[in-house]
Amino acid sequence: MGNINQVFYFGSIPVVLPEDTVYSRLGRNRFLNRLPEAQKNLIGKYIAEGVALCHPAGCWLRLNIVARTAASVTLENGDTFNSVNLAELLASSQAALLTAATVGGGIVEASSAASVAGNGTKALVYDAVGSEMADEAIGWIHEYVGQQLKRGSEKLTRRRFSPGYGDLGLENQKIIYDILNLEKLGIRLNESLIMVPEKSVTAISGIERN
Amino acid sequence: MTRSEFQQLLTGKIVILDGATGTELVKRGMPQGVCPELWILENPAAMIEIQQAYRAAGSDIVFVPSFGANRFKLEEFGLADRLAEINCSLAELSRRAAGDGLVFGDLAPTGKFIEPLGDIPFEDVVNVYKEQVAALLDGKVDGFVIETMMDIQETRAALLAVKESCELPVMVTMTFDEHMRTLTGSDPASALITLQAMGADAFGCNCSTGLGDMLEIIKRIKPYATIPLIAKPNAGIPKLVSGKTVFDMSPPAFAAYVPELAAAGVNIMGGCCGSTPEHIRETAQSAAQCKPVLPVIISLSAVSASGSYCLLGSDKPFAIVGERINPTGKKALQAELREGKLAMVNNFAREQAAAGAAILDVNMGLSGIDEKAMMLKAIKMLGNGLPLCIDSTNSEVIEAALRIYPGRALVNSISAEKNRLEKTLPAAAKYGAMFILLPLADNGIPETAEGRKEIVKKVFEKAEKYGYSKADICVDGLIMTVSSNQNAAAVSLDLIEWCSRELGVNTICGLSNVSFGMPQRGYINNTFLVMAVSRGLNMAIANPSAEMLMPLVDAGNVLNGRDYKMKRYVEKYGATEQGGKVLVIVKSDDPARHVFNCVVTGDEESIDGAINKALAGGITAKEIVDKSLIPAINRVGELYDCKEYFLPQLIMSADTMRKGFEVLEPLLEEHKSANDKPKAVIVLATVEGDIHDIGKNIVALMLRNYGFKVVDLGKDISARHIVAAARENNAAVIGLSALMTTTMIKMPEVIQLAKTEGLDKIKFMVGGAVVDQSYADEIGADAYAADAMEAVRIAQKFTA
Repeated sequence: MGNINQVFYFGSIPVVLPEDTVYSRLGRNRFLNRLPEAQKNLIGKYIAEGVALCHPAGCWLRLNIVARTAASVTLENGDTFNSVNLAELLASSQAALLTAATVGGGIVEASSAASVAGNGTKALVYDAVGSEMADEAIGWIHEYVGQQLKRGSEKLTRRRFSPGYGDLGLENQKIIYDILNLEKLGIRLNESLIMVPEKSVTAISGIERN
Repeated sequence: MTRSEFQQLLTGKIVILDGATGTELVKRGMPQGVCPELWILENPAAMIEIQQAYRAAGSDIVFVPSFGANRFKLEEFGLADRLAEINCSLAELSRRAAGDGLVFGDLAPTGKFIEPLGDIPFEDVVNVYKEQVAALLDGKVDGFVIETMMDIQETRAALLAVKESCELPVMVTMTFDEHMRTLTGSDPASALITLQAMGADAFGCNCSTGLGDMLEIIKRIKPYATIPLIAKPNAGIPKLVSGKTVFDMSPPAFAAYVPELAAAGVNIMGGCCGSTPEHIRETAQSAAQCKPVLPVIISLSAVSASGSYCLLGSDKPFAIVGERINPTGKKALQAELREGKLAMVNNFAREQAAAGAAILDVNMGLSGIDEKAMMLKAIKMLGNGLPLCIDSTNSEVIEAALRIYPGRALVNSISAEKNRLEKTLPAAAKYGAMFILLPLADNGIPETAEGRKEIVKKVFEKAEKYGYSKADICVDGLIMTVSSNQNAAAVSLDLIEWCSRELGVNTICGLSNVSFGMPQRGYINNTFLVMAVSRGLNMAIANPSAEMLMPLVDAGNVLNGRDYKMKRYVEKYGATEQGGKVLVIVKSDDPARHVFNCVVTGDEESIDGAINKALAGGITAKEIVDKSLIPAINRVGELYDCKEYFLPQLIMSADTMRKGFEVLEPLLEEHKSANDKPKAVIVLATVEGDIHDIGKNIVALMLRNYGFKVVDLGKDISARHIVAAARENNAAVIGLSALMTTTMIKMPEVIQLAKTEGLDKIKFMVGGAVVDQSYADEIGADAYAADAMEAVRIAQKFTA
């Protein structure tokens, strides 16, 4: 991987959604749950429809870490993330990887429309599919970057952090949004720092030497 | 080196490649973060030493260290303007190091993704590789290797770049994960089918996961390989030891896999990450004792997409080519295509795949639209699904589509017409597509089977000159409607029988043509299908959702022995519950019990009928509510509480109950008495700034089912609006939802405002991902509800 600090965008990420992840998100306990064939077929149908409504896209950027304390990390572009948790995660990293993924607004609109039409099951399954697809999409980007890094004897940290988790405040969403220019993916940030479309995610992880 | 010399080299031995370059360069002092290609040119002795060591260890072929020397990668180091010099010099350096060994130019991922995955046009990537190929040719390479590829489309671009630049042999290796997929979703067999059809001289995998996985990949794809196979594995699976990644497989352990790999069909072996000259030495010594297993077939009847493939033939399952993506006779689709939209195309693709199609026909022929542009748009959208059949009468459209199609397509069609033979046939051959041979010529369709056979022979002769074999062709039975000529079916059946039994090619037909103009067309279509299958037909262009079509196809596969161990048939028609327990609901003739069962099983489709039957049987609306619906939803609640049901089942039952109430509501209103207690009102909202509402919507649905009047204000609702709605509706409870830490802080604002405005009697319950009991206590809420059922119970308690 070279030195260029360029945001790389993926217009269409080939997400393969394992159905099990949707069932897990919906709270299915395979040992206790009783799922008749007709219900299973209906849920499967909604999952397939939901997947078709998602258009996973995303982007990533590598930035070197130029300064750090026990509670902050500063990147080469001058932005600082204040978080003990993040500083711990990136303790052995020479660079940070910023990533974002979205599945677009179609699935959210369809879920809302289903709710309004009184089809709560469809709304619920669509919602879960949207969330899982966004997670899978950002996971795909990490896998891709991880493979690229391998050739240069580097690797990604096993975990990644997202604004709003641990002590990494949601205000950091704005920093990532601006750095990655997420408007290009059709994402906007509302006054509460929530990304719209709702099924969008961002993350920070570390790049370490092998 | 010519391509035939390359194949000759492989007939008598297992050819040995080199091992890792990157890890060897690091051992010799290459620092992190530099451009490896430039560092090698500045430190040539290191590279010469590595490649000489590999040659001495037994490598027949060494790779030019040009892995990252394409324009996009060099741009990252500001070196793009030195591309020609770098590639040529690296090739010359390897030539010096390799002595009389073979030197293959190395093409690898550009780091960019091609449309629609990324934003780079396919042709740009072809040109980027062509530029690198030209420079490596200047450096006098003997052949090319395209390696560590993760995306089939980028691999195709690189392969086309080589094929359009020279006649040298080209090997391709891709990287697969533990699920045997590339990062962009291609499986090894699909990739092999696509790339060998396009003219790759050898195919295999490098890097990837462990040696065991690689062995399994080779075993799986060998039966489909018409070209030699390559394995260039890592020296074990990378492990983290003292903070460093190490490949812990010793040279003897690495070489211990060689006999198995050779027996599985590997013809070319080497090493990837972590391997050393010693790994290669042991590999070469072991390989010298093994007899190479050459490709077992010379042609393969199969089509592919980026991540799926379909094998064709008389011993393979009958293949339905879904016919629906065709604007002919579809006004709504025509209107969409005229607007440049493809939503219906996407739906047709999904529906046909679900119904059992093996291949999808794509036809964008419609007056008034840019057929080529729409075909390319459709190909980009559909290329990740089932294999496609590219259907057009325009050779330009077909060629453009084949260029960007990320698989091996089926072309529909090539006949003896001059334009098809001169233009479509060479284009199909260049991209390795299979094609449907239409037995018609410029002077029309022969009326007899004999006349059609002559055309089949003529087109096949021409196709052979382009390298086609019988396995690459499907002859169309060219069915005409029996409504105008009752002998038409017999002519087609004779042709089908001759093609399949004597000529030995695949046969296909546009099934519904036979019944055009007839009433009850399905009877004729299905009967003809059965007759044609018995005469050897193995494909049909049809609508897989047509009544009885797929059951007939599936049953035919069983009876013809095309469904191995009847697995597909049993899987499809002998459906059994996978995992979990099976809920057994005893069927009941008791109408009230039937209503109860509908709710418990979430049977929304049957509840209307069940309620109407109960009403007709003299049960009142109120009794249905009290004795069937309420007990049923309570039972569902119990099942949910003990985790026998999970959330979607709870909601299915709630949806069913809501539908039941819709039927009963007018009757309940009619018999409402003055003594009936009015429904308690609950105002629900997702607080200001928050856009997440699925949880709140579920709560609303459940509360309604339990008899509450719910005023659902929606999401992103201000405190003022919520309090005003509560006052206006005389609400007993306000339920607030928030998913984020930045929005949960709006909850106390609502509670405070309600108190300020004197709404002291209203109870507050809160919920959402970031909210918990302690937060509810902190902000003065009356309750925290962890889920929808708990919200119901809290509301019941507050309004009792």
